[in-house]
Amino acid sequence: MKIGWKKVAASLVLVGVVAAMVCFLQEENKSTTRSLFAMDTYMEITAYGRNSENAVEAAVDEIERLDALLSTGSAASEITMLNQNKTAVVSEDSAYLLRRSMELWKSTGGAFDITIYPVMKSWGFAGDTFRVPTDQELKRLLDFVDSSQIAYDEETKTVVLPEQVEIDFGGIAKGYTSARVSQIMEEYHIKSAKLNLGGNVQTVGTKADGSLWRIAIKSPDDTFPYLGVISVEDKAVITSGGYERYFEENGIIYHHIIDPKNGKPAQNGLVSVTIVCEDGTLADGLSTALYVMGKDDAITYWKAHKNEFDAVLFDDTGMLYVTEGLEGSFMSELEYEIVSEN
Amino acid sequence: MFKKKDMIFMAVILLLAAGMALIMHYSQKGSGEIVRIMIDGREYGSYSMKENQTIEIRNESGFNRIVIEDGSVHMEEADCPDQYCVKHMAITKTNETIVCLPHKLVVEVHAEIKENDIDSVSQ
Amino acid sequence: MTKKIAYSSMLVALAMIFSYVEVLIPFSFGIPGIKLGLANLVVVIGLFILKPFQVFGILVVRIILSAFMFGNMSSLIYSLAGGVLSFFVMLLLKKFKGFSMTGISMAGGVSHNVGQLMIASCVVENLHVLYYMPVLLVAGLITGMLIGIVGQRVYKHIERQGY
Repeated sequence: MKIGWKKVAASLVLVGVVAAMVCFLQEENKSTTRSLFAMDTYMEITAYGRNSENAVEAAVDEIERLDALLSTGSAASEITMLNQNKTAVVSEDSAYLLRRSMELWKSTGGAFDITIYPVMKSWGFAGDTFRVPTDQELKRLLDFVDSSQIAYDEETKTVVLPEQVEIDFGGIAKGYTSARVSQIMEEYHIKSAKLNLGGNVQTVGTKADGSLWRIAIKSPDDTFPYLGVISVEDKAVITSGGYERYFEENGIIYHHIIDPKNGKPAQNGLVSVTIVCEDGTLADGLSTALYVMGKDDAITYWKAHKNEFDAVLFDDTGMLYVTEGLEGSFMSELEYEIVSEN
Repeated sequence: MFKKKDMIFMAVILLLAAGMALIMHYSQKGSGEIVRIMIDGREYGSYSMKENQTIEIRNESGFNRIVIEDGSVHMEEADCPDQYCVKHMAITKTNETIVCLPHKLVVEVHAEIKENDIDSVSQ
Repeated sequence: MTKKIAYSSMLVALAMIFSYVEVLIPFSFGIPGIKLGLANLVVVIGLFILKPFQVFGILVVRIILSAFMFGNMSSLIYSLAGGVLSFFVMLLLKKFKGFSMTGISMAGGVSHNVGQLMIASCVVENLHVLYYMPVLLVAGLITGMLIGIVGQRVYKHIERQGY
């Protein structure tokens, strides 16, 4: 059999086209994962797609920039400087966070308050040495826990704090960071990414194969692995629980979610609060605020803001409450009650 | 009528088909547990195979009614032009699919969602 | 030239009649995508009596026109993918000597189905569609064989009478 050059050429073209397609598909399925320690926690970012490497690189840069800017733990950060000097012209990021914090403080009736920082310090939750402050000490500190004492000029971005008042964006900084990272993913045309910033989960798009992300909610104790699993796309899933950070003294457990009303670890019946919504900043702030509010107030708050977020609440009697919008996307082996508007 | 190369070609294709069918048969781990509906490459929702239920989807492309009945899934009704999906036999095993191409809708059967299918843990 | 155009148009018309017959009497096997592909008869015979580019023209015109008349936008994409791929595969096999018309037609039937399935899995962005592959391979083989057998008979008559 004689084989002409035309046949050879045609076969080569065919093989070339197939090879090109395979390469193209492989690039498309590429993924990049990076982990890092920032904001006093462990973070993991995974992005999928041909641009994932650049996107994740940019995300890490942004996280490190925000950490340096907002951390109360670093002596040179903008927030540390503000707390020290009591006045500062702040960056866009801090200005945005300040505005969102004030909104949350108002809408939650003070359950979320960035001026709680001095109380957090007295408990040792800002550093490493835990201690139980005396009632007298707390009473004195609580005089300065009041976000209305913050003076902020939108025009000049100037913040002025009274003597003794200090702020900390710890309650929403990680949520804001995850929101910023999802923006970066969008800028890099990433259609699929997940971040876990120390337990704060943010998803971008769906999984690479188009199916929904399945995010488990950690159980507060070891008797069962998860409270449940939520299927989401393009959402932040952020949980607050007293089990995250606590210490024990004389047989009493003191956890890190402080109620701004009395300066003590919140004991309003909730053990774990998960917020599901697009906006990571809101989810982070609300998970703390609703935990502080307790079940009844949390549900009342949800009813008034049901278009903004959904929630999973777990109380100390072992009851699980899931708001209406998650019906169908929440799965659990435990029994749970759907909370609807009526 | 057939030449030698025709027969070779036929044998190759038949072997290929048999091989693929065999691989797929063994990758199917019996009856599925979860019905997943994908629209335009994105998940619309997942449903348990164990519960008899009807899922109605109405969107820009049209209407589909998917019925889960006694551990099998079929397309009860669709307003697509070709009606292939409605004629398709009911599916029960993992990795089986019903496709409604005009609506870019795929009904897939999956094994049970296990713990290691979790993508992240919120805590 | 005029004769060529007239001849091509006639073949397009013939192919469209075949497409229409299949719309009227669908051979559905409960699995999407399997059909006899009567219109492919014109392409298979055409490859033996006409120049390749002429056959290609007839194929593309037939697909576009039948999609407008009996189908829709998405059926156009699938037919085009299957049709064009099978055309080139058949052309290639014809150049490699040693295949009969039946063999070439079988390859055409198989590649037609493969092309359609690949487009389908891209459109619905779902690899699970490839689950149909083995069935469609065999189906392509059978339909291609039928078309090839018929084609061979028709070809004999055309050859005897000249055209």
